Order: sequence, then structure tokens, then C-alpha cells
Amino acid sequence: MILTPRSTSTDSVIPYGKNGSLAFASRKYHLDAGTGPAPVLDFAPPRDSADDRSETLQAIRDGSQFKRLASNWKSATGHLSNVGAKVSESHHQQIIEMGTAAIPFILADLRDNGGHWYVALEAITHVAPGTPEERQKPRTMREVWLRWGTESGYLL
Amino acid sequence: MVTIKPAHMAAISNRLTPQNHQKTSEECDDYNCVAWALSIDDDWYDHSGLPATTRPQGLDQSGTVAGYVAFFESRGFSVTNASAFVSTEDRIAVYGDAYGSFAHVARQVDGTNWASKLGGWEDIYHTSLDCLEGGDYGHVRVLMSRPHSCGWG
Repeated sequence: MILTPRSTSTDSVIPYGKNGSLAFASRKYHLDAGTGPAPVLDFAPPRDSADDRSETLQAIRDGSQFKRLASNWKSATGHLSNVGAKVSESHHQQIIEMGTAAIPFILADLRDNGGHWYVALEAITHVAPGTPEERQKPRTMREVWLRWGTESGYLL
Repeated sequence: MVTIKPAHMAAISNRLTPQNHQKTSEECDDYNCVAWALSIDDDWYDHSGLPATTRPQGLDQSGTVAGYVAFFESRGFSVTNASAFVSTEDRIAVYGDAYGSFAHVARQVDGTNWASKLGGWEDIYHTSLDCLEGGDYGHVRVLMSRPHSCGWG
């Protein structure tokens, strides 16, 4: 007996996919008993209303979601020396999952407040700017990314 | 006496109070505690090799207290049991968690104070080593010293 996901056109959608893609929040599963019609088991959570989805998209566009995640990330990890521990924290991961929508907000926060944003920027953009020497120090890495942001049009 | 933000105090340890530390710099993520232990203020010494960090010669990739102790040994330090200030010596305290992972290092300044860079947050002077213990920094695992001004950096 195997439970397999079955895509449906009525799946509710939230915009939290990898690299900014859309992801499905719920799936229906059908029970494959081998014979006869497959009974459908619906494990889907309550569906978001259109208004909920609209508010979520608005929170991404106006930066409020980013600000909340960034504030939580910095509060949780700002005192850590271990960069690996910083960037594996869940709020940082959620910012990466915002995809390209997060880039302008990350760059503005880097410019205005600093922060170890370089792993997120590289994960989202797939770009690793700077010379090996520039990439070793926070101060030069920051300058490199702010220059990249200006040249690419993400940072106005 | 100027102290760090209350939220920062709370995040580090409930043993850190306005009475046992003073802020010595504003927030800055140009350097971390490992670099600051060696009086370096423009580099982030880390075992990870991730962007905007330097993995200095002598530091392995383990991220363990043992790995950082070996690194500081490569800079002229040796393990000691003594925490009392000696004017002819540099002294550091290496913090780690219960699993042996490195978390923090503090540098002795004088007979009263230790200097710590709190990740990307402020620099502080603190009057004891245990006021940073009990949170993410774990506990002091190893004390190390070397002859003062020996030029190892």
C-alpha cells in the first residue's frame, strides 16, 4: 500500500518556493491498494483565501516579510562568530527561499545596517563576485556586492 | 558606564549585566572574536571558508574547540590553567559548547577586564569570564597564554 502525491488544480499556492518559484502548500494523496477505485485521502490543510494570498504577496512586495525575517535572523545569530551557524538558521533560510524578490531588500539592508548577507546573495543570484582577496573580508565583500547591486539595477 | 543593548545582553547570557561589562565599540561586522583575540579589526577568522571570512593558516575546518586551540598554538599560545593577569603575557579564554564545538574567544586586557567581540555586535570589556557563559557561547573550555608582544599576531 503506497501513498503517493497527486497534483490537483485546486491546490492552494503560497509563494515560498526555492529561488522565488511558487510552491504548493498542500497535496492530496490517494491510497494505492492495487485493485479497485482508489479512495482519496485528503490531507490538505485549510485552504488560504484569495485575500490571504494577496496579503502574503503584498508582504513580499513591500518588504515587510523580509524585514520580519531579517530582524529575527539578526536577533538570533548576531552574536555568533560561526558563519555556518548564522546562515543555517531558519529565518535566513526562509529569506533565501524568497528568491530574487529578496535581493533589493538584502542589498539595502547590507548598505544600511551591514550583516553577513553574502551566502544568501550567492545562493539566490548564483553569482560570486569579487577577487579571491576581496571575498575574504567582510568590508571588501560588502563593497563588491553593493557595486554589483548598483550595476545590476537591484540597488537604486 | 555604557552597556550594550538589553536585547543583546539577553541573547548572550542571563549572567551578562550592566554591572559586569561595558561597551567599547558600536556594532560592526568587519571582524569577529577570533580576529579580535589577536587584536585584528578588519578580518573575520572562521573555519567555514564561507564568503567574507578568512580561514587563516593553522585553522582546520572542524569548527571544534580543539581545532581553534591548535590554531592559537600556531600563533604562539600554549594551554595554561592560570587566569590571573600577568603583564608579560597575552592570555585568551576559548569557549565551547558541550559537544566540543568552538563558540567564542575572549582576550585578557588587564587585571580587571577581558575583551570580547560579540559576533557582529559590539565589543565589550567584561570583568569575568563566566558572565558570557550559559548561553550560546557555552563555557570556558581552555585558557591559553603566550609571552606578551611576541610578534606572532
